[in-house]
Amino acid sequence: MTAPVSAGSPTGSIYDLGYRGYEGPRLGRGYAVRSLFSHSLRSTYGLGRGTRAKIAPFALAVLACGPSLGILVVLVFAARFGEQVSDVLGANLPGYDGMWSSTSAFVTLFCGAQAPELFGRDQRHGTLSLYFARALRRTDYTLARIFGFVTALVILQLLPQLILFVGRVLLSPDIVGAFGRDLPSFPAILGQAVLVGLLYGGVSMTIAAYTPRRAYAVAGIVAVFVIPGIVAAVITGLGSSAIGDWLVLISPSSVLDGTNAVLFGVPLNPDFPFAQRPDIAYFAAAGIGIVGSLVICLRRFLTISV
Amino acid sequence: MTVPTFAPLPSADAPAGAPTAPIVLERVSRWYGPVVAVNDITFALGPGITGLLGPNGAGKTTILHMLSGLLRPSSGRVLIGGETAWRNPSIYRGMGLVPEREAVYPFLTGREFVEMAAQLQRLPDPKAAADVAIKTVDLEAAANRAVGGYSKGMRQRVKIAAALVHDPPILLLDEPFNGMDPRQRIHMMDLLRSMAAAGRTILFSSHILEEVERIADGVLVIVAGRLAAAGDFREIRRLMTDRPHTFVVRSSDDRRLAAAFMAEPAVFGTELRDSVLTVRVAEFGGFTRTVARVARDADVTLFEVAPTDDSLESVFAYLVSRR
Amino acid sequence: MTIFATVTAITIRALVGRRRTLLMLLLAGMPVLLGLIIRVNEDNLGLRILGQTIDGIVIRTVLPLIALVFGTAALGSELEDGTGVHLLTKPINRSVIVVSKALVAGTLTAVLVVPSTVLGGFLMGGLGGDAIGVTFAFALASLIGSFLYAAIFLVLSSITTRGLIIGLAYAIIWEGLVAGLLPGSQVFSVREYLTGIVQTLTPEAVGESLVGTGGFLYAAVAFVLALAIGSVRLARYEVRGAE
Repeated sequence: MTAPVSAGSPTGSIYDLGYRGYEGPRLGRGYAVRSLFSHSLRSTYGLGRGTRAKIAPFALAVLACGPSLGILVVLVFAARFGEQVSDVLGANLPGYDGMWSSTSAFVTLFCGAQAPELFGRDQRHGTLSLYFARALRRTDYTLARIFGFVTALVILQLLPQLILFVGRVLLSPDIVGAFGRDLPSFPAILGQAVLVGLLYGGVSMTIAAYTPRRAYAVAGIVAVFVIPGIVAAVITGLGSSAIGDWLVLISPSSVLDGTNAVLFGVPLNPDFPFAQRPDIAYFAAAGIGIVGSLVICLRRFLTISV
Repeated sequence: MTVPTFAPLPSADAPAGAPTAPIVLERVSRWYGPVVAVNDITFALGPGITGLLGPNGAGKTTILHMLSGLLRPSSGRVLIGGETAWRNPSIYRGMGLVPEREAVYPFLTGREFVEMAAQLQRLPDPKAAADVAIKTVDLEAAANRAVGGYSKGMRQRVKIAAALVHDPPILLLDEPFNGMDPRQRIHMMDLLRSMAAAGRTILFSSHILEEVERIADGVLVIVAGRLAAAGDFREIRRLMTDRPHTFVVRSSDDRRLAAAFMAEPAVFGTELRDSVLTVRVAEFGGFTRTVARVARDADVTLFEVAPTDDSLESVFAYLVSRR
Repeated sequence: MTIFATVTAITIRALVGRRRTLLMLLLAGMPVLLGLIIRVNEDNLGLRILGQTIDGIVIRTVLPLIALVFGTAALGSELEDGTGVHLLTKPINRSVIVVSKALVAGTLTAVLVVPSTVLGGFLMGGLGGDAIGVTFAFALASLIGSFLYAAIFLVLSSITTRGLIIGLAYAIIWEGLVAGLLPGSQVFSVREYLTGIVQTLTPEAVGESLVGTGGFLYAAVAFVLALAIGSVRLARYEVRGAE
C-alpha cells in the first residue's frame, strides 16, 4: 500500500494551534518557594491529596489530642459539679509541661508516617528533576519542604496545648485571672513546640531524604527516635557513669525531655536519668541536632543527580 | 533470523462467539466509585491476532487486567477458556501475560527469570523450556546477565519469554512493542504471526496504529471505556458511510480526468495540487466500479488508484472524534 | 514442593540485598552495643533488670522493627512495584506464596535477632546459671516473635500500602499503651504472648503476665490465623487502578 499523500506540501508543516510565548512578568523564586512550603505543609496533613492520604495524619493528630481532650472532659464535668477549676487543676492534672511526654509517641509515629511522603515520593517517581528545572534552587526545595513539615509538626504540638488552654482558662469562672496565670507559659509552649518541630522534623526529613523506599525510612525514623532513648535510659538507670550521662544527649527524645523541663522550669523527674546535666547542654544538643540534620539534608539534595 | 514454527493446537477451531471461545467478555463493566473505566463491553475472541486499540485512559489496561484475573469485573463475566478469570489460578496454565509495567526482579539473570516462570508453571523440564523460550525471543546473548542491566526492549523480551515458556494457547500483551527497535519489532511480529497461525489466541493492546495495522487480523477499538468498533478495520471503514472517501489517482492526464470525474454524481469534489489528483466520493464501492469506465471514456490512462484514508489512522481518528 | 522451594528461593534473594542487610545488621547490633556499654560500666545485671532491659531493647523495639522491614519487603513491596504480578499469574495456590514468604521473612528476622539477644544477654547478665536462663528464655521468645511479627506485618503489607505505619502504630500504640490500660486487651498483643512465654520459663525476669503459659498457644493460633488471612487476601488481590 502506498503511503497516503497529503494535500499539503511534501515537506512537513507546523500548524499554529494557538500556543503563544509569554513575555510578561513572572512570579519568581519567592513565590515558588512559598508555594512549595505551603504545599508541603498541606500535604503533610493529606490536604489536597485524596481521602486515603488524610487517614494517617488525621488519626495521629486526633490521638495526640487524646490526653488533653481527656483533661478537658474532666474539667467540664468538674465545672458542672460546681468545683473550681483551679482546685481540680491543683489536684495533679498535667499542665502544659506534661503535654510533651504524653504525645511524644504520636509525634514519633507522625514523623515516621509523613516524612517519607514528603521526600520519598519525588525521588521514587522521578519528579525531582521537574522541581529543579524551575525557578527554585536546590536549597530552596530542600528548605521549603523541611520547613513545611516542621510547621506541620508545630501545629501538631500546639493543638493539644490549645485544647488544654480551653479547659484551663475558658472553663474557669475567672477567665481573666486564669489567663494571667497561664500567660507566662506561652513562650515555653511555643518554644518547646518549635524545638520539637525542628529537631524531630529535621532528623526525620533527613532520614527520609536518604531512603526513598518507604519501609526503610519509617523503620529508620522510628529506630532513631526510640532506640537511643532506651539505650540511654537503661545505662543511666543503672547508676551514674561518665559515659552514660553524656550518652543521653544523642537521643532526640531525651534531649527534648530536657528542654521541656528547662523551659517550663519544672524539675526533672528524679527518676529521670539526666537530671545532672546543665540546662544549656540540652539546648546545645538540640541545636547541633537541628543544624547538623539540615546540613546533611542540604548536602543530599545538592549532590543528588537527577 | 528464523522464527521457530509452533505446533498447531489440538482443538483450536472453535468459532469465535461460541461459549467455548478462548476469550469471552460478556457485558463487562468496571467502575471505581463514580468513575466508569470499562462500560458494558462484550466480545469473544478466537485464534488469531486481535489488536486492542484506544487512546490512553480508554480502558485497555483495565480490560487486560480483568482478562488476566488481576482485577474483578464490577459486573458481567470474564471467561478464559470457558472458566471465570477472577480468583482462579488454574487459568494461568493456559494463558501467558506480558504486563506493561517494567518491574522484573532486577537481581535475577534473564535465564533465571524464565526458568523461575517455568518452574512455577510446573513444567517437567523447566531448564529446557526456558532455553527454547529464550531462543525464541532472541535473547540468548544476554540471557546470563542480570535483568537490572537490561535495556527496555530486552526487558520486554524477557517478559515475553516468561509468558511463552509454557506454550500457552492464549497470550495477552500490554503494549508489547514498547521500547523495541525496528529489528526486534519485526522479529516479534513474525513470532506472534506464527503463533497465531498455529491456532493461538493473541490479544495485544497498543496505541500505535501502524503496529496494529501490520499484524492484527481484527481490532477492538475502545474509546472512553466503550467498545467503539470491532472487526477487520477495512470493513469498519466501509461501514463509516457518513464520511466521504478519498482516493488518490495517478494518470496520463490528471486535469482532463478531474473534469470527467466532476461530471459523475457520486463524486463530491476533486483537487489537483502539486500534480496529485485527489478525488472525494460518497461511497467506496460505487466509485471503484465506475473509475475505469470514466477514465476510458475520457481517453485517459490510469496508472494508480489508491484509497488514502483507508488506513487505521483515519478509522481511529473518526471513532475517537465521534465521542 | 518444588513450587514452595522456588518461591522461597526467590524471596530469600529478594530480601537479602546489600543495603538492607547492612541497615538491619545495624539495628540488630543495638542490643549487643548496649550489652557492651553495660559490660564496660557495670557488673552483671540483676535478673529483674536484665529482663526489663532485654524486654525494652529487643522485644519492644528491635524485634518488631526488623520483622516489619522484612515482612513488608517480602510481599507488600512486591505487590506495590509490580514484581508480584509475576508470581500471581501462575497456577499456584495463594497460600503457598503467603506461607513461604512468611517463613522466609521470619527466618531472616530470627537470624538477626536471636543471636543479638543471646549475645546481648550474655554481655549484660553474665554467664551465671540464672542469667543464662533468662537470656535463653528471651532468645526463645524472640525466635517465636520473629515469625509471628513477620507474618503479621507481611499480611498487613498485602492489605494496605500503609501497612508499615499501621504495623508500627500497632506495636507502639496498641501494645504499648492500650494493653497497659486495658488488661483484657493483652490477649491481642504479641508482646504479651512473648512476655508470657518468658514468664513461664523464668518468672523472676518479668512481671505479672495475664497470658502466662497461654502465650505459646496464642502465638501459634495467631500465626496460623495471620497466614490464613493473608492467603484469603491474596486470592482476592486486585491491582491498583492506573487509569
